[in-house]
Amino acid sequence: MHIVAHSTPSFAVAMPAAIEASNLSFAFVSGTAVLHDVTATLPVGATCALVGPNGAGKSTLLELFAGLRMPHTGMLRVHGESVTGAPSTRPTGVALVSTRALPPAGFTITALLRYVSAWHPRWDDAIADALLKEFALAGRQRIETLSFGGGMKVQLLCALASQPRVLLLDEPFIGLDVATKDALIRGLLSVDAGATRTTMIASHDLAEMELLVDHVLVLDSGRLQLSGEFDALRTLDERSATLRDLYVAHTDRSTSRVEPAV
Amino acid sequence: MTLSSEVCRIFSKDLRVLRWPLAGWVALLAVSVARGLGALPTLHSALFPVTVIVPITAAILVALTVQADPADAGPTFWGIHRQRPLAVTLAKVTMASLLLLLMAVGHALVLSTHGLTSDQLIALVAAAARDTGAWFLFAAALAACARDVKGWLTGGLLVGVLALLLSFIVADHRSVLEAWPLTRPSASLLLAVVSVSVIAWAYRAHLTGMPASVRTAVLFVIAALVLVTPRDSMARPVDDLLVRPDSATIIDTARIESRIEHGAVIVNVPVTYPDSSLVVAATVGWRLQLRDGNTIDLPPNGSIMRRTAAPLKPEEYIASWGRGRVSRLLNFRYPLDSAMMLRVTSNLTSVSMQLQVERVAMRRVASMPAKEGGTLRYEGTRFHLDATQDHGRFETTFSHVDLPEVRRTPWTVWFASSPIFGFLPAGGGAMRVLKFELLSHGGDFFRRGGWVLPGNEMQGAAGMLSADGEPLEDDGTVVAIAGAYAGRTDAAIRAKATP
Repeated sequence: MHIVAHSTPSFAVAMPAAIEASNLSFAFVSGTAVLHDVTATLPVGATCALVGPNGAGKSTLLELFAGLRMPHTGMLRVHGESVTGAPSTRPTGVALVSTRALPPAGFTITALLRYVSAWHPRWDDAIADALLKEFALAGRQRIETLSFGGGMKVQLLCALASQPRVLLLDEPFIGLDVATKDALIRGLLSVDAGATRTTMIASHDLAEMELLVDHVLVLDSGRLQLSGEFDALRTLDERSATLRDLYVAHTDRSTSRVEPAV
Repeated sequence: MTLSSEVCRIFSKDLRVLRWPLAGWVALLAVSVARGLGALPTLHSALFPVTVIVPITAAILVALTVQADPADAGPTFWGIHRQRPLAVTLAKVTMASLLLLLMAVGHALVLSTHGLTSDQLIALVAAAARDTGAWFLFAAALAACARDVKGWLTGGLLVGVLALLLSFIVADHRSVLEAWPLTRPSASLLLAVVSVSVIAWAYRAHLTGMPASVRTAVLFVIAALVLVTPRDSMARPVDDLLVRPDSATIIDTARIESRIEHGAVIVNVPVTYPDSSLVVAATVGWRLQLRDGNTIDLPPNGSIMRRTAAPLKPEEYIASWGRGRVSRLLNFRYPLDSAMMLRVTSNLTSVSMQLQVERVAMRRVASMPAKEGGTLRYEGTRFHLDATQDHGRFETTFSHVDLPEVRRTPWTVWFASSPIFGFLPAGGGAMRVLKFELLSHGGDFFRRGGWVLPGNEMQGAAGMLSADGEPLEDDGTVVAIAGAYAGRTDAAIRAKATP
């Protein structure tokens, strides 16, 4: 049962919106449609879980929000700025952490941070230094010698040190051990400039996300199935006490196909 | 951040990312240049792979540089960190330019040991860099449209095969293509400009992604454009590249039949342009050792025999990068006078032949499309050739053939056009080209040929023209000289003469 019909904005927007998407659709050049009429609004300061089965369109939606893809139809605003997909309209203050965009080899971590910082006017070296310690990373370690989790830490470090207004995390916990996940979560929680940062996390690690999020978006087959504040959604249906329950209830996948929470 | 500083940062990042492959490539280039400078043994086969690998690996490095920041749609590191597509494009072009510059410097170093003037050196290196640079950018454009290195290789193969097929298809219409006002320099420039545009477009369009069909079509058009572009001579004549005689090594392999033939290995000849031919001029002398103990010495007769090799093979030109030289085996043949043969063959024990290389040059080869039409008038001692039909851009080139001027000088035919490809050596400043037909009284076709005569060095006859240059057969056959001019070889006109 859908608590909120898809394509219907659910947030009672009392505060300014960080992300406003209206009837957003996207298809690859091959013609494969990925997103259909996604309409959602995310308030400033929210931390939102973006959940859905594999192939639901989560990564693509994040890439649209980051201005890395051009929507076919619909309207998208990030902090009031219209995002059409043209390079000149790419949203400012948006950071994306993705497993598909690992940092280049050949750098030490320190050198990479110095390289990346030039493109981020709000870059804060103090945050970078603090996160280096938090993530137990050595500045002189070479990027190519990092594990997958280490690479994700460096990406998250770059994203947080740039003090984004919107932080988009695509599968940040994938392939990470428990200790590293905890470190990432601590990092996320430790850097939040006055609760003005809006964060969206796409992940299958529902248990980890439940600790962090206050909003939920459920995507299935490119369509928005559910959106709203996490607590409000839980109170509407007693069977939906957890994020996992919401996921199962609002996707067409059977429970057996849902990836187990860790 | 300004665009220039952004380009510098991305470029320095690429240098850092590719530092080890780049270091390996620079070492290869150094070996190649050292070999060209004579610091390493010039064993032809031992180091040949090195000189071939240098430009090929350079193209691969350019592709890797582009692939370090893929233009493909989706989350890329450069896209996430909001680097401008134009900055990324310029950084990649800068890397290609750096590799090209290093190769050009190495090439110039090698060529500078050949006694060239600075003007010659600049012209040679610039032309080589222009053509090679265009292909580097083409490789970069292909990489920008490919998802990964595997896709780059596959795409390159596909484009090559398609372009080759197209070249076969259009082969029958080559004359039409040759009429295009597109010269080789402008074709290279066009390829470079289009390639840079493709790179910029790929980075700018990374948000939407490009259909594979569009990628293939764009690159196919570029490759086809270059392949069907007529090979043309240079925009302006360039002097032959002269080499000191002692820079060539002669290895005698004399043997005697009805002629004396010497194989001469000419080594370390500087390479200039990909469409060059090796031209060697040498004086000849020989000694006949007779059975009765007598010898007949025939000292160098003062005449100069010339011999040209076939145009450079592509692999030779590629291999010349850095080393800047090629080696060729040339056969110098000299027919023995039949009377002399009758006199000496029964008593001949051995023949020794001496070749004295006077001149070694790389000469430009240009296409020479034959043009029909024109009239040839014979007035007194002069043939006058007037082009009366439309000969496109060549129309104003031709004026007349002043035979009396020619007749004063003995003639030697030292090169004839290839009947298959129609290439003739050109360039070299004052160059005369004669294409001719010999017709009988009744106008029937008798014989056709073509000569290239360098500069003003009109040399002795070769059977078709008498020694004094009188172009008449015994029976008074009319000779039609068709097309002659001083300067570059661009075309010839075939015409009939009326005595």
